[in-house]
Amino acid sequence: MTQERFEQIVSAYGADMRRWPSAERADAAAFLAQNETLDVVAKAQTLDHFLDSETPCAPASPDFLQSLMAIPRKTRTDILQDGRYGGFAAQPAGWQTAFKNRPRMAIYAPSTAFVVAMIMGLWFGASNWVGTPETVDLTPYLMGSDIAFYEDSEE
Amino acid sequence: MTRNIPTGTAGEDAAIQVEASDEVLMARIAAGDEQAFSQLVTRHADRFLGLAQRMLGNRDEAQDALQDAFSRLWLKASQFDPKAARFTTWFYRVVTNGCLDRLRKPRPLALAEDWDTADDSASADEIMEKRQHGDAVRAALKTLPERQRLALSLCYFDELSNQEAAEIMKISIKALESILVRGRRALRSHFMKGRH
Repeated sequence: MTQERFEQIVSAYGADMRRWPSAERADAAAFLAQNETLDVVAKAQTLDHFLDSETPCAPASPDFLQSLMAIPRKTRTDILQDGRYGGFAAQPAGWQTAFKNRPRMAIYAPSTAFVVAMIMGLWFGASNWVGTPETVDLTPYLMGSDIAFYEDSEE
Repeated sequence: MTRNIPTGTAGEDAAIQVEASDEVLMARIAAGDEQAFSQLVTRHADRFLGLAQRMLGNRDEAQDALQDAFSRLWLKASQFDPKAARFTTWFYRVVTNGCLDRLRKPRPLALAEDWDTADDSASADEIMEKRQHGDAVRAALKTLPERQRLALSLCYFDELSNQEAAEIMKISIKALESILVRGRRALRSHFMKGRH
C-alpha cells in the first residue's frame, strides 16, 4: 500500500474502514496503523461526522406499503378497463384501432373489401372486352398501306 | 421459496419459515405470484425509499418514483436474469434510472421536504437538532451533480461495495472513485462555507 493509494481510498470512501474496498482493507488498515497522524484521515473524519448527522429516512408508511402491494391488482384493472398496461399504452395502431372493440370485424371487413374489389374488377374487364389481339388485322399497318391510303385521299 | 420446516415437537404447529431469496421471489413474480411481490415489497421498500428520497430530496416524489419502480418490477420481472446480476443490483438500477429521469424533467416548483425523524422516543430538542443537521446534509447533497449524489448515496449511505455501486452506475471502479472524491470534496467545501 502506497501513501498515494491510501489517500485515494480515504478521499473516496471516507475514514471509516468498513467502507473501504474489501480487497485493500487489510493493507490500508496496516498502513493507517503506522501513519495515524495523516492529514487526509482527519479531513475525512470531519466530513464523515457531518454526513453521519443525516436523519435516517422514515420507514414507508403502512398506507404506502399497501399501495405498492396493490400494484398487481391495479395493473390488471388498467388492462381490462382502458387497455393501459401499467402506465404504458397497449393500444393497437392504425386500422386495428378502429376495430378495437369489434375483433371479428377486424377480420371480415378487409376480406369483404378484397372480394368486392375483385368482383368489380372482373365485371369492368368483361364489359369492356374488345377481343383478343389475334382478331385484329394488323396487315395494313405492317405493309405501309396506310400511307398509300392518305396519298390516295389527297388526290 | 418459503418452506415450512416441522419442529418435530408434539402439539406444536409452529414452523420455522425459511425466507425465499430475492431471486426466487422474482421467478415467482414472473409467473404472476402476487404474494411473492408483496414479500419483495415488504423486504425492500424502506431501503429504496431512502435512496429515492436522498436522490430527489422530496418524500412525495420519492414515493412516486418507488411506485413506478415497483410497477416496472411487476411488469418486467420475466426480463430479470439472475445469472447476469443480483436482484438488488438490478433493482437499484431501476430505481436510480427512474430518479435520474425525474431529476432531468423540468419541475415547476420545489415542494417542501417532508422528512420524518426515525427515533420517536427522542426529546423535542433532540429532534430539532437532528432535523437541523439532517437538513444541512440534505441541502449539501442537493448541491451536488446527480452522479456524485448517486455515488455517495450508494457507497456511503447504503454502504454498498464499490464493485456493486460501479455496476449499478455502469462505470469502472476507477471512475466511481473519481466521482466519489469530487463529491466529497464539494461537500466538504459546502460544509466549510456553512461553518464560517
